[in-house]
Amino acid sequence: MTDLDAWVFVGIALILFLIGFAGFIKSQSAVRMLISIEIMINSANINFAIFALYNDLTFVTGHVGVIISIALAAAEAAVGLGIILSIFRTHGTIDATDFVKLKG
Amino acid sequence: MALIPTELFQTLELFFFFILIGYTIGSAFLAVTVKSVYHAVLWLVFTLLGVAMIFLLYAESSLLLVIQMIVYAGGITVLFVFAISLSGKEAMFEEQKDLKLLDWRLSFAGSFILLLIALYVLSRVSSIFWQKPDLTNKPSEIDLIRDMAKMLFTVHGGTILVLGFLLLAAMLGSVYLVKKEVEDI
Amino acid sequence: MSELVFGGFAYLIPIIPIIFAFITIFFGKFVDKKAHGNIFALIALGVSFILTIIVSGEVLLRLFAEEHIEESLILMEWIRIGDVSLDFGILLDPLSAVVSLMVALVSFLVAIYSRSYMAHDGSPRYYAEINLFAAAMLGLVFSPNMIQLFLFWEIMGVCSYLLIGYFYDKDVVPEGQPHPASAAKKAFLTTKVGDVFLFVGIILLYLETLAVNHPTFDFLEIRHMLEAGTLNIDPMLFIMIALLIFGGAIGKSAQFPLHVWLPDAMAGPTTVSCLIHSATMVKAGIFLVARSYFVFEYASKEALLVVALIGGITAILSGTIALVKTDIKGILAYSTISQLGYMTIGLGVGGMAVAVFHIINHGIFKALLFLSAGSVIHGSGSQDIREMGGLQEKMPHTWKVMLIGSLSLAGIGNGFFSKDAIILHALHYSGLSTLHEQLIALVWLSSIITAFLTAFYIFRLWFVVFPGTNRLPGHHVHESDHWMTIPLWILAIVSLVLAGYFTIGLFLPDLSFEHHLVHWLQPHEHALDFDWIVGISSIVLAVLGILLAYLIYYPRADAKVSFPKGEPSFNIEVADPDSIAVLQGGFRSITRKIKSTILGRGIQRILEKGYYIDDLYLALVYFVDAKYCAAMNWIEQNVFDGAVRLVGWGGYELCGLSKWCDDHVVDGLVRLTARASLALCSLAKTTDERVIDHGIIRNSAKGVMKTGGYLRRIQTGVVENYALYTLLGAIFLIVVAIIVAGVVPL
Repeated sequence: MTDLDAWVFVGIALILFLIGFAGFIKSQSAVRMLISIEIMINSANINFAIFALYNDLTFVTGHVGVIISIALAAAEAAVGLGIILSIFRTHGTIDATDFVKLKG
Repeated sequence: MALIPTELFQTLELFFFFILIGYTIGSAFLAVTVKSVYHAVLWLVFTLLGVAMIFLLYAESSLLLVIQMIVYAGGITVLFVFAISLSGKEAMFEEQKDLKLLDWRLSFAGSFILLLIALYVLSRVSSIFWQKPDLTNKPSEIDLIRDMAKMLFTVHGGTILVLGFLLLAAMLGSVYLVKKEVEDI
Repeated sequence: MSELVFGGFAYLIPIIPIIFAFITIFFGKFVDKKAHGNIFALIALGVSFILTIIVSGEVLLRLFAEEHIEESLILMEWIRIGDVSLDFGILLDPLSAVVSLMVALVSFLVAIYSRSYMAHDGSPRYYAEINLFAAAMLGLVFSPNMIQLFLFWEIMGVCSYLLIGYFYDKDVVPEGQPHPASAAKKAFLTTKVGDVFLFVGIILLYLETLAVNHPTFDFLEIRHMLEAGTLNIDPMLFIMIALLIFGGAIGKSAQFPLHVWLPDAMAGPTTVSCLIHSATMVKAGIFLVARSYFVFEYASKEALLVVALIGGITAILSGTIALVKTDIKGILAYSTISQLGYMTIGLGVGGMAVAVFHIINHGIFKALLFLSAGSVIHGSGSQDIREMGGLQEKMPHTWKVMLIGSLSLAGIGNGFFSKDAIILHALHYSGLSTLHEQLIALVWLSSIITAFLTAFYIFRLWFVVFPGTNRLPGHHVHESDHWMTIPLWILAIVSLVLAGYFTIGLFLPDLSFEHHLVHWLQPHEHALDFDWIVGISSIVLAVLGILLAYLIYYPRADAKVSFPKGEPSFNIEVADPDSIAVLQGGFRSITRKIKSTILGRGIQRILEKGYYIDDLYLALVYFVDAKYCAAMNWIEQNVFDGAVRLVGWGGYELCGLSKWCDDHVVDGLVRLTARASLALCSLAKTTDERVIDHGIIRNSAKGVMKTGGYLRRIQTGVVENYALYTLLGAIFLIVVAIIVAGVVPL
């Protein structure tokens, strides 16, 4: 395997994060927002996994971090989609730009 | 492997790496840009698989690959598909509306600043920090996983406990959220 | 002993159709538009067929010349786990050579036939799936180990699912027929039951090889180990392994308990039914047992007894159901199940080679029958034989080839030789005990009765469909075009040539294909010589069956046939009856009388319902489901609700207690306090109004209002904006962190 430096992967993670963030900002559908969040979480996971290997070979905390983060993402997706469903029930739409109840 | 000269092999590997990266980033890009939300979920799956490949090939951890495939690409995406199916036909496509954003340019400017900061930090850190360590003495993956399993229940025991409560709360919460009102039944 | 010359090409045989399956999916829309990409199927299956002729033909020619050749193996390592390696490869031996020839021929002819038959309903998807289906069967036939076999086995399961459900978006389904989508699901799930058995069997056998430190999935290696006696397996476990493997065959080859999917599989296009019935799907089960026959041989004979019994039950059960079916494809479907029962009997009585022999013959004549049935359906626009009749004039090619196929199925053409050999084997089988031999005798009886039934029902079909006058006026009946008739004639000629060749073998045993086959496939067995008494009696039975069908169903000259609704029988009116017609009338009135008794009606009903096996399964599922729900409901009502009520009751009692406290103790205190505070309040009120309200509060409130007025613009309520603030906050924190951590010296 060709030796690639860690910054390559940090860069990839950064690009993924920015794509996810841009998607989050741009999208109107609440489901799309959750998708963007998943992409951002994944970019964080790449960093965890890569630095677990690059910093210390026996240092598995990074992997633990990835696992925890995936579990968090699962919980977040479940709750998020539950919220979307209940919003759909009460409002008949899942267009996030339509709920401006928090507007001051 | 002996059939292919080492240099050519390395070139091929690099080539494959670029294909993988292009694939991952490209599908992430498509996931946030395609019109149909169903297709977005499909591209999300491809992104997740690409990340899983990065875990396997470059973080050298097949465990993470497996977890990523099972939990993410297998489980969460199904949730997405169900959520879209349950929230009616309008949910499948995004209507293009005017953004009610305060100023979306600001957000892209913010992202750009973030990019600049990141690049600056990346350039400042010593190059030793980035270098790939010598992997010859790397313990076998079985040992690593065993270590991790031990750590999960000793050092990180509290975290796991909290995580368990969180998942329980998430489960109850989502059940509560999607439960029909009592009057409906 | 020299190597095979063309053996190296063998791996191309399954690979080419697989590749073309994908090409068809992507380019079928653009190339050969009119026929929906049929050209790809033609090329792929044609090339595959030619290669099969070259490769398998060489094997067979060498076998004829040298009587015995070494099995030829081409292996590529696929996965290696520890000492175990899983290989992909090609096994060339007499069994795979013989079967692959038939499979490749039939699938190629089906591809030709589809060009015209599927001209309206076709799509690239159809041809891709046909390609994949045929490729899977070819790959299965050439499999050298159990894992590859299982893999192709499952691919075939998926393809059958896709093809049976090809018309999944059909809106209207004829009454009494299942919807294609549900038929596909049924086929997939039912065969899956057998697949689970098969997989468990494979793994158990593998564990046994692992126990003697030679883990392998390879057929040849396991056989050699069994022959050398290095594998010592517990006899009961060995029987179980054999039966588990046979369980896979029960599912795939539609044997008795799991045969329910095959009649429903008629919901697919007729070409697909032809593939499933003659070449691919159902033959895979029989082929599996033939391929792993050494397991059955070395296990105790009880395993084979079960096989034979299942075969006997299946043969007679479906043979009787076919008597009352009125759907042309339904009759053929039940006849397939019955013929598969024959093959299973053949396997069960130790005649693996004759079972394989019957695979070949049945493949040819059943493909012929199904393709002619497709031609009939295409021409007459109906599937119900009651609506046909009089097609003989309109379809000059189809009736001839269908007659050849029907004769062959009835046991007069090429089908005779293998069927007779199976009956002969059943007759000469020596069992373990008297009971065993008696059971085998029952199986033999079943096969004899089925031979008679087969001849009867297939000629019932033929006599109702072709002679006489058309009963569905208004539809323009036409003969199919050359794309359909040429494959039919090829199959008919193959059937006739085979019949001729086998007949020569009767008189010159050195040329007898059956003897050669037994010699190649079961070298330790001794081929049974043709028994003229059994042979002639089975021909006599077939002729009797045809004669009976003729007497009851053949409409003579200007006879008019009608099927009144609600009556179990039908009417034939003849203008001026001659002596034969009078005889026929007598037979018909007897039949009608038998059918109109309560017993007759009951039997008819039972047969039409297929012995209520489907309904039984359904009722079983409903029963289990209902019981489960009831149990859950009980738990819910009694356990959970009880707990909730208990908690509620406790809460209620507590509330009562606290109310009492409230009324008596707290209230008094409150009143006392209130008096005191009233006095204080009046004092404070004065101060408040004067000083605080006007002075401090108004002014500060105004200040807050103004500030809020500015700040509320940030609160848009749009989620994205909050995300943006989060980002800006994150940037701020990162900058602070960088500075604090000292990465950037300030």
